[in-house]
Amino acid sequence: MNLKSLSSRKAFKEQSDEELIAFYRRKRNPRIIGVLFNRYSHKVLGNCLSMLKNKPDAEDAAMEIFENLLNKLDHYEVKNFEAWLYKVTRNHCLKLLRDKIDVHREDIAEINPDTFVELESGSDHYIEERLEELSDAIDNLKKEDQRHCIVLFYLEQKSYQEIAQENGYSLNEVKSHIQNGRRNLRNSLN
Amino acid sequence: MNQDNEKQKKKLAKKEWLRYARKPNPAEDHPYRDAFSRRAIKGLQYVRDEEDARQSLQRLESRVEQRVNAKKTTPRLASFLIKVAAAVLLLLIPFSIVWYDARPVSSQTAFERHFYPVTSNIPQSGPLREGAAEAETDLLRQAILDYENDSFASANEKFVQYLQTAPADIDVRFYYGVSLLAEGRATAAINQLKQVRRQSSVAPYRIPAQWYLGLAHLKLGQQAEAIAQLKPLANQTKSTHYREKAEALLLDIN
Repeated sequence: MNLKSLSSRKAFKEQSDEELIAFYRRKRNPRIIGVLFNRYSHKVLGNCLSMLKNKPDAEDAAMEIFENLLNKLDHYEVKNFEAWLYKVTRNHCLKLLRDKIDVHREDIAEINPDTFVELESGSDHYIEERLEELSDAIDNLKKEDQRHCIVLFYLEQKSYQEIAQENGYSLNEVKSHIQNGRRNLRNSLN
Repeated sequence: MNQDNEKQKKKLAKKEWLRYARKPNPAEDHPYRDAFSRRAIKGLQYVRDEEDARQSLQRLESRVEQRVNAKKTTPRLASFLIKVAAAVLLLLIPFSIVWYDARPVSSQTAFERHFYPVTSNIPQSGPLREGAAEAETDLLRQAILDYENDSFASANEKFVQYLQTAPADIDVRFYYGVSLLAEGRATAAINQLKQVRRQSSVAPYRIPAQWYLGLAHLKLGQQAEAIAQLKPLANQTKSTHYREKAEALLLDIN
């Protein structure tokens, strides 16, 4: 590859992912990774939104993933960047999701005992699978109000009172949405 | 059918991803088979509409751009030219200081200029909390020590554990919020500081919490939200430490 031809942003855009990675390793110029990341920024952001379920956390997580790329690309041999980036994104989001959900592990035991067992045992492989199942089950809750209240309670650590005040529900409505949401999650996971 | 097969092979482009945000159930009606694309479309249910998704993506890409430019490496010739320019600028500094001080600075610069974690006023020894178990007291003491030693990540782990047992401890929640911000986790810091401000309408943490909330929004590049937090502090009738700080910061960004 002609390195001089890569000196402009336009030239960066014409290179394959793998060529850009090789170039970054030689030049250590973060702009190269910026170009590479922005090819997939919508997918990274969309995946973070899907796992973390709110914009500010998703944007922060996507930014952390970008920061990590600068170091990781030094140490890992990457053959298919897009597939690798999906794995990095998924792992990062699952780690964040685990931290969020950990606070409610007793409630999780009631929804899905398997997830609780994995949280307790700390076995990384299985906990990832369980968390992904739980995240998908939340996404698939049919009633918008239930999904909204479940996300605010379990992932954003809001109290019943806060959810009611900030979203115009009565306290009883919040309790009912969370209770019904929890039951539906239990049904879809067990 | 052929079109669908084509889309399965085709990569999910940004424009197309944004277009799915218009659909009521984006995850149910698309031809993409790879997990990365499928989940990216699924995530769109957590944005309001296409415009909301576009703005979120723009915020992310401008943060990446800022980060990339901050660490830009320079070729030798450019480096030499920069040195020459720097020497010329050095000669001009005395003339430009007054003009430069009056120029607005970016949110990130303002944050770095004005943020520092407040010194903890929770005692490090003796009974920290009446009736608290020994383990909790010890955990809190360790958290405060880490906080004071700028080991914010470690402090935050301990603050979280402590707050699980004492969620109503507003003093600790305040320092946890500041510590999260010091670690760079601005969104999480906003979560905590909002709780502090809500629960301490007359307590000593209301004004400091509002100050750090303003800074957290600045850190995220949300200048309008930051100003909304800082203006009331700057407009206080009583002259306070935080009024002066807010006035200085607003001058920097306006």
